[in-house]
Amino acid sequence: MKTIKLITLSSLLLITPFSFSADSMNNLSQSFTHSGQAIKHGAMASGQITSAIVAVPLKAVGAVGKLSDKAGDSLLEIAEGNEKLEISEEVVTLAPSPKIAMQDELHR
Amino acid sequence: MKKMIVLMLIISSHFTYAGSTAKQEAHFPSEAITTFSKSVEKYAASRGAKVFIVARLGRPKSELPKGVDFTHVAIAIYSTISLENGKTAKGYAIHNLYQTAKKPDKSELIMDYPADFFWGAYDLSAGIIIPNTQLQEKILSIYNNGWDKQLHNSEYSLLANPYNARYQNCTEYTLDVINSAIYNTTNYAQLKANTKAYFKADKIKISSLKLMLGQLTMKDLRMNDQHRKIQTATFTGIARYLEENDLLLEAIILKQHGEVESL
Repeated sequence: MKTIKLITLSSLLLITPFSFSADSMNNLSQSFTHSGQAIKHGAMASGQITSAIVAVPLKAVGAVGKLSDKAGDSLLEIAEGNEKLEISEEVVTLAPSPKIAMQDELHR
Repeated sequence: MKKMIVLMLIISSHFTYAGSTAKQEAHFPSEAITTFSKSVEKYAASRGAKVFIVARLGRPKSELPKGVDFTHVAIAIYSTISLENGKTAKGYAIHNLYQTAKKPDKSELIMDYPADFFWGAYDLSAGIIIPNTQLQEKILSIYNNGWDKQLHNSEYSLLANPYNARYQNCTEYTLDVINSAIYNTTNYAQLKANTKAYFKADKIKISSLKLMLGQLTMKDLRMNDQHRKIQTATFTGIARYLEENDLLLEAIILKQHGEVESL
């Protein structure tokens, strides 16, 4: 009995301090095989969530950037100062990997 | 004695595994997550934040050591997002350092979106640090110039020491991006020297026994970059660093129902 108590206590002591950092995992890549992702896919199918293809970051004022796309340039105009920025109502999420996308296709 | 050690290892391995898989599950209905993630975006946008530091809580707060308020930290950048349906949206893309799924002691850079970021959160609350406008502009330049990739060290450790270049975790990477922006350099030795001179890492108190057993069971717990006292970068530490250097606009915690607390 004493041994069991000791084991339990030691294990708890061991685990607790390290749990804080074990969260740097990509929710998306981990959850595709999980039911949680099915909920996400369900939400996507209902139009609540939209997949993104690419995101172009705002262009820094005066940056010697490699990006010269028009989307970045157009955002430059609203980049100065602290004025309120526009946020679209669409809920954007990463598109699934090609492997998962194909699996989804097969299951439809 | 031998039996006891083996049992401890089995039990601790089980818990570690359970911890890794538990975060795959959404703890909230999808609508709650998407509503919350949108509220985080709207809060930052209402402050005119082109760049902000964002953090999530992937574990019960009671499990976190003193001084640690969040479990994952990343950089959010206001972006134009091309959608699968042909439309474009305006919002934040989140630039993360994540552990790889197969090798937890390695990391990769992955961009996702607020709904992805908060999908597995244990608690719908977000840490938000908004740097001042000048620093935001400089962080943007880092991403515009592709310097973010040069700052990545794929050797991952949960308790990476921010004062040396051996390992990196998500918070240290975020700090490295900030310092690269401040000092206009990707020279890593220079960045680490500056970090040592000006950034106060948080000291994490863990017993030697726990550390020893932790290293036996967790590949991503590597301690040979640490000395006697364990030091690591935290979200709160980054907020403190920016505040001490007059580079902070705001540091808050946004809760699920819109309540705002200062960090």
